[in-house]
Amino acid sequence: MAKVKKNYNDLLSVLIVLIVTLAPSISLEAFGDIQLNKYFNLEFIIIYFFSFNRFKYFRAISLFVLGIIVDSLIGNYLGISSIAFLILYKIAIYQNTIQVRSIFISEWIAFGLAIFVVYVVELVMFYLTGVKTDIQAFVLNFIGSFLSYPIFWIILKYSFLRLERFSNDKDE
Amino acid sequence: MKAERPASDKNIRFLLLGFICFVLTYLDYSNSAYIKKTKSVINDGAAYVSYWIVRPFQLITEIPTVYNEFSLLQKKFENQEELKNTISKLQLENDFLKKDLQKYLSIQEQEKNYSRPSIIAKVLFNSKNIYANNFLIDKGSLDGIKVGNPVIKNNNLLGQISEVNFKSSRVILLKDLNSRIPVLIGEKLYTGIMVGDLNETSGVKLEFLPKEYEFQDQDKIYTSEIESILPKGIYIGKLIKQNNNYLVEFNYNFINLDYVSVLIEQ
Repeated sequence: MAKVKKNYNDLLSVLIVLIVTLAPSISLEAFGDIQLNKYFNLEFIIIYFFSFNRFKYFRAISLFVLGIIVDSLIGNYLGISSIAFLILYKIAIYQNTIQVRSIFISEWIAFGLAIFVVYVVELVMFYLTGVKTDIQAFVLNFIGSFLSYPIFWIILKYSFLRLERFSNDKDE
Repeated sequence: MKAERPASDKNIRFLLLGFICFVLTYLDYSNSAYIKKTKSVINDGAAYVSYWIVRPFQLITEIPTVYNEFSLLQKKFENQEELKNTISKLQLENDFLKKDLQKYLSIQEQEKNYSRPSIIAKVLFNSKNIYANNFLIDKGSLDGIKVGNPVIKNNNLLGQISEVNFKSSRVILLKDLNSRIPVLIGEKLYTGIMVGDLNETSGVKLEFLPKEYEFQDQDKIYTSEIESILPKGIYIGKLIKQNNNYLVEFNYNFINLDYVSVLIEQ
């Protein structure tokens, strides 16, 4: 019987998102008061990228657990980030199956639509739970995330996915 | 080969997880006893694990500084005369560190001014983003901390405890959107509420001020009492006049916090 090769991609992608979540605590020490996460949401970008391009990297359960950890660290009510990550994951998979990705522009617009839905859901949940939010900050974060997607797309595409191709070649 | 799960199974699992998320949020929002202890355990775990994950990275980011200091020292030791100077400098530095230690110990003494016992706590994790502006400390309900306890640094109010776990707590900073602190302003002790506001330069604004008031430049801001939770008279900052507007200037830098003091009830 052929030996099933264990795949750690799931763990690796979760770890990347977790490090991104923890990064502000590191950058606060290193760079003072510069907060890049105010201008874009790197967690959303990474989750969307991997869900859309290689959706097998994430599983719904790992995103659920990741969301709980993020909520616990940020101080949100438990479940808000989980639902945001799950919705983003589901939209990305749906967009992938209807073949949006033929050209990059359509992937980019699809990303914009996906995170728009997620931000709206988050704002509604914050409103319903009585948490005060700054809509202007959310709008800026949405615009920043949307505009910075191509930059991160290039970085992720040409580093992480090439690494993956290299590992596949090695296995063969 | 591992068989792929049918799409309907995946959809059911997704819907189930989504439903659990909503239930969790509702239970957490309603402060349900079912989730309180579980959440405390999750928060404690996340806080300490993240601290130990972040710590090596923090040490790595300190490497350039350490390296620079090392190369500077190396140059100094090249010359014998310089070595002597360095020794005397180090002695001075040693004295300085001793004084620094004394200062640290005196913080405990100074903070007794508020006639309340205080607990020194280590900052575990900073969270500053569009959702929140808070940090986690390594003391919790087992150390006597309660929600609402003021958190101070060198006698300046930083914020309040917003959430208590068993061995960690969340401190909501004055600049957080959900922060509300009753204050007394200036010599005439005008009352008001200090509210976190991202759009303000100082990160806070004053609301619910009296109908008629007149501020002056350098007017000091202190806390006003809330029953037995927040004591009266903790220094917050001062007002600075800028283009006919008054901005709140804090005495303390809100970043790079290492240790803070929590004033607990007697």
